[in-house]
Amino acid sequence: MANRLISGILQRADLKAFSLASIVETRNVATVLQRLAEHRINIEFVNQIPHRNGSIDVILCVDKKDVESTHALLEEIRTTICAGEISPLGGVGILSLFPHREHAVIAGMIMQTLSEAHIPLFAMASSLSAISCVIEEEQILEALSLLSRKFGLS
Amino acid sequence: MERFKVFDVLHHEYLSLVSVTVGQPDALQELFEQLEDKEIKIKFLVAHNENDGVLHITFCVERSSLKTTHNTLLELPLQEDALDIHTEVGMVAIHGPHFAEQHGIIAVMHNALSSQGVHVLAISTTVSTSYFIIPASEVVKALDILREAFEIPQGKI
Repeated sequence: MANRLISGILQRADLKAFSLASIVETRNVATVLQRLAEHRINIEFVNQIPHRNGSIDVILCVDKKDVESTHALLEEIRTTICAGEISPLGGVGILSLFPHREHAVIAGMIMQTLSEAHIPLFAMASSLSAISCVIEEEQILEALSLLSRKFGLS
Repeated sequence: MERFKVFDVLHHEYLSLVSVTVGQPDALQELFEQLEDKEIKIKFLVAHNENDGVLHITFCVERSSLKTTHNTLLELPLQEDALDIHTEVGMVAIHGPHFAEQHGIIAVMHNALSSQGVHVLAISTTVSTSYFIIPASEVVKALDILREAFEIPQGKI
C-alpha cells in the first residue's frame, strides 16, 4: 500500500523556526502575523495549536534572512500578547509529502519513520494536498531518504 | 485598500476536533493505522513537539466518524487528561497564491476573522493553503467575512 500513498516529496531549506508558547487569546496570534506582515516578513509555515487550559501555542517558520528581524519583533510584542517563551528552534527545513488524500496512515508512517531514526519532528501540518514536517536542517537529507524509502519513492 | 486575490475558498461545517498529547510520537502509528483501516479520513492535522519530547497533535475528522475515532483512541494507553474533543467544529480555508510570492495573506485572514469575534481554534498554513478551524456555528459568518476580505473568483466560495 505504501507505494501508492504519495507521489513525491518537496524539500524547503534555509528556514528558521520559532515557537511561541502560552498565548492567551486567538486575537494575539493575529497581532503576531500582522506585525510580521507589516515588516514584509514572509511566513512559510504556521501552526496554531490549542491547549486544554485555553492557551495557544504557535510554531512559525521564516526565511533565514529574516531571522534577526523576526526575533526582535516577536520579543518586542511578547509582553503585549502575554506569550510565555519565544523559543528559536534553530535552522530547519520542511519536507512536504504529496498528495495525502486525507489518508490517516501517512501521518503515522511519518512519525514512526522519524522516531525510529531519532530525528526530532518539530512540527507537522496538513494542507490541501500535502503533509509537511518541520525537521532540523542537518537531518533533512537523512529524513528525505528515509521517507522516500518508506513510501516507495526510491 | 487593495484586496488579496485568492484562487478559492473552501469550507466544511461538519467536523470534530480531536487533540491528543503523547510522550512517544510513534505511539500514534497504531492510532492512524486503525483509523485508516476504518476508512476514516483526516481532514486537518497540526502537531508540534515540545522540548521535553511530548507531542501535541490536533486533527479533524468528519463528525459522523467521531464515535469510531473516540473508541479507537480509548484503546490506546493514553493518560486520563491526554484527550480533548470539540464535537462541533468547522473549517474555512483559502487556497493560493503561493505564500512565498505574497506575504501578509494569513495576517489578513486571521485579523479579519478574529477582529469580528470568530473564535479561531487551530490553524495550519503551508505552501499555498491556510486552514482555520472554528466553531461550526461560525462558518457562515466566517465565509461572509472572507468575501469582504479577499477578492475571490466567482463560484470559488
